[in-house]
Amino acid sequence: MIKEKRFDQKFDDIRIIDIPVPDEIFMPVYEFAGNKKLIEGTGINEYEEIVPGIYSPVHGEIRENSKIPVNGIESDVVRISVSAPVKRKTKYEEDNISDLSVKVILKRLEKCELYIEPESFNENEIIVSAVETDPHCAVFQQLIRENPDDLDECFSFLKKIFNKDNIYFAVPENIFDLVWELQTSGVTIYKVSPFYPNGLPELLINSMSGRYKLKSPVYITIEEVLNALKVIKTDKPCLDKVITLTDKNGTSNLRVIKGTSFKEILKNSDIRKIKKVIIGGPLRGYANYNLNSPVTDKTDSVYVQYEDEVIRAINNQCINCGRCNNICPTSLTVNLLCRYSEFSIFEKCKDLDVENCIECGLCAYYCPAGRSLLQLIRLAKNEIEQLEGEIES
Amino acid sequence: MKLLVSNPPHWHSGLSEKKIYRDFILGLIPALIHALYFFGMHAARVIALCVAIAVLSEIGVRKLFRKKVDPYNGSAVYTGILFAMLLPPTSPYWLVMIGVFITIFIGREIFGGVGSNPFSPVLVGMAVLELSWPTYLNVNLTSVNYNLGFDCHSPLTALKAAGADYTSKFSLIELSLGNQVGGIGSVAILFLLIGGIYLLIRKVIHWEIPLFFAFGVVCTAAIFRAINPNVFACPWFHLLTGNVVIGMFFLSTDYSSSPFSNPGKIIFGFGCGFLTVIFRALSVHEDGVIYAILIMNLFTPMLDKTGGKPRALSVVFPGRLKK
Repeated sequence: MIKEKRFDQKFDDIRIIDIPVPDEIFMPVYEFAGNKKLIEGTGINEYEEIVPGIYSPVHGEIRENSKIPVNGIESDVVRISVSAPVKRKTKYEEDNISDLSVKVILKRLEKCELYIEPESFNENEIIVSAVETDPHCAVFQQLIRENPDDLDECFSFLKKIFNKDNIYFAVPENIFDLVWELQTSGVTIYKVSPFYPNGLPELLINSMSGRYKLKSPVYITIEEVLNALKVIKTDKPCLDKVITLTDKNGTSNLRVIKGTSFKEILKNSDIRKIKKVIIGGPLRGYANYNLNSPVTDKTDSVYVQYEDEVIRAINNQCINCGRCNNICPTSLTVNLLCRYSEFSIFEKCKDLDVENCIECGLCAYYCPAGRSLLQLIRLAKNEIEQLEGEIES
Repeated sequence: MKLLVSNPPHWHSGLSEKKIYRDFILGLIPALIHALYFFGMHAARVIALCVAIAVLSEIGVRKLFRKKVDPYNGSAVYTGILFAMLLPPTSPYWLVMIGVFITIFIGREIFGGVGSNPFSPVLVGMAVLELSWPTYLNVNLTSVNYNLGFDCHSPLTALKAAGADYTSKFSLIELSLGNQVGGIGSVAILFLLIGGIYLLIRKVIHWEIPLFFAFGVVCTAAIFRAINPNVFACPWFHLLTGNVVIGMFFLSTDYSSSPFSNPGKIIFGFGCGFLTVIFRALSVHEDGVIYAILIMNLFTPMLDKTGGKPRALSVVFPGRLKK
C-alpha cells in the first residue's frame, strides 16, 4: 500500500469557479467542411449520423482548421469564433426522472458521453467511481459535495435501466459521510483509501471484482453520471466540463465550456511565467507545447510547473535495485521489460505481459537511476500493437 | 512563451544512486569505527588503499570501455570499503591491489557496470584471493603479532580442528561484541547489526534476505547439531562467527546479483544460510559464506521467475464506448 504524501487525494472543499466564455474556442472535428455558422447545442461535424457526440458549446462561426495536440494526440481542430456573447442559459425546463420511461431515457442518453449498449443491461454490474484517477485531481469529490441531492436521482435512473442489485459505488474514505445514506436504497458502497493509484479504473475494477465476484463490470465515473442526469432531465447536450488546475500555490476547480483553450484558463487564473503545462496527472500526463489545446470531455486536470519544479531527465544505467518491480501494482518485471524495450526486443516484452501495464507511472517516479520507464513501456506497447496489426492484415 | 516538453512522470521521488550508496556506506560506518579502534593504522591503511584502488580502477576501466565515468555516485567507494572489511589488517599492499582490481574489473565492469553483474563483485575478488593466496588470508597466522586482549584463535579453525566441545571456550557474548579474529570489519557482529538495521529502516535493503539467511544458518546448524553434537557446533555459534553477519546484510543483498521477487528473496536467503553451514560442516573450508553466496547468485535469474505471472488487469469495458 502506497502512502506517499504527494499522492494523498483527501481534499478540502474547493469551490468550483465558473470561467467566462472566451472569444474563440477550439473543437476537435472529424473533417473540416469550410466555414459554417453554428448554433449552441448542435453538432459540429458535417455528417451528424457518422460522428455524433461533438456539439458546439457556443453560437459562433467556424473559421479555420489546424493540427494541434488534443489530450496528447495531434488532431484536426477547428477554431470557432464566438459571435456576440449571448448570455448562457443555465436553467432549462427539467423533467422528473420518475415520469420518464426507459425508452425515453435511453434515447436521451445518446446525447452524452455515457454510452450503454442496450442489449446488456441486466447482466452487467455497474461501477460508479468517485475516486480520482490523478494525484491532484479534486473534481469528483467536489461534484459530490456540491450536488448532494442529485446523487439520489442519479442512482434512481441507473436503477431504472440496470438490474437493481448490480449497482456499486466506489468512494474515497474521506467523503463516505456524504454518501452513506445511499446504502439504504440498495446501492453497494465500496470504500477506497484515497491514495493515488487506487482510483485507476483497472485497479478499481480488479479489486471490486475480487470482493463482490463481479462478472462483467462496467466502469463509469460519477461526473459522467451527473452529466447524463442533466442531459436526461433537460434533453440538451452537456456543454461544460469541470477540471482541476494545480500549481505549486494550490488547487482550484474550474467549470469551463468545452473547447476553451488552456491559454484562456491560465489567463483567467492569473498564472504566469510557467515552464510546463501537463494535461492529466503529473505521473502519467502529457506535457503540452501548444497552449491553444482545448479542454475536451476527457480532460480531467491540468498541472502547471514553474522553472524550479521541472525535473531534468537523467536516464542512467539501471542498477537493478528492483524498486520498480516491488512498487508495480500489477507486479510486472519492469526492469527487464524496459531493458528489452530499450534494445527493441519487443517479442520478449510481450512474453513478460507488457499489455497488463496500467501506465500509472509509479515505477519511473521511484527509479533512482531516473530512467523514463513509463515511456519505454508505452513504446513497447505501441510497437507490439503495430506488429500485431501487420500480422492480421 | 516557451514551454518545456518531456515524457512522464513530471514528479520524481528524489531518490538517486548517490543517496542509496551513501546509505550503504553509512551502514558500514559502525563496523569501520570498531576496526579502527582495534587495529588502528593497519586497518586504516587497508581501507584507504582499497577505496583508492577501487575508484581509480573504476575510472580507468570505464574510460577504457568508453563509458560514462561518474565516480561520485559512491558505488566504487562502497565496494572498496566492503572489500576492506573482509581482509585481515596485515594484508600486503599488492594483495589488496590485485583483489580490488579483480573486484571492479572482473566482478563488475566486464559485465557492463553497476547493475549488470551476475555475482556480487566483492565476493568474486575475495574468492580469487582465497584460492590464490590462502596463507595471507589465514586469520590465525595474520593475528599473531597483535595483542588484542582475547584468545587470538579463530573460532572456525578451532571448530574444524578440535570439534564442537572446544567451541564452548568461546562465549557467545564475547563473539557478538567482536572479540574474535577475522576480517577487519566482518568480526564486529554487533556493529554490523546496527548498520544492517539502519539499512532496513531506510528501506535500502529488504528484510527477507537477511532474515532468511540467519534462519537458514540456524535451521541447518540445528539439524547437524541434532545428528552429532560432538562434531557439529551449536547454531548460535555458526551465526556469530566468520562472515555470516556481514554476508547477511551487505554481501548477499547486492542489488543486481540477488532476486527481487518475494518468494525468490526468501529462497535465496535460506539457500545462502543452508549452503554456508553445509560448507562449514562438510567441506575443507572453514568459512563457507563467500562460496555459498556465489553459488546462490547463480540461481538468481531462475529465482526471479518465482514471482509468478502478472495479475491480469486487462478488464474489458463492455458498456463503455470511448469516443
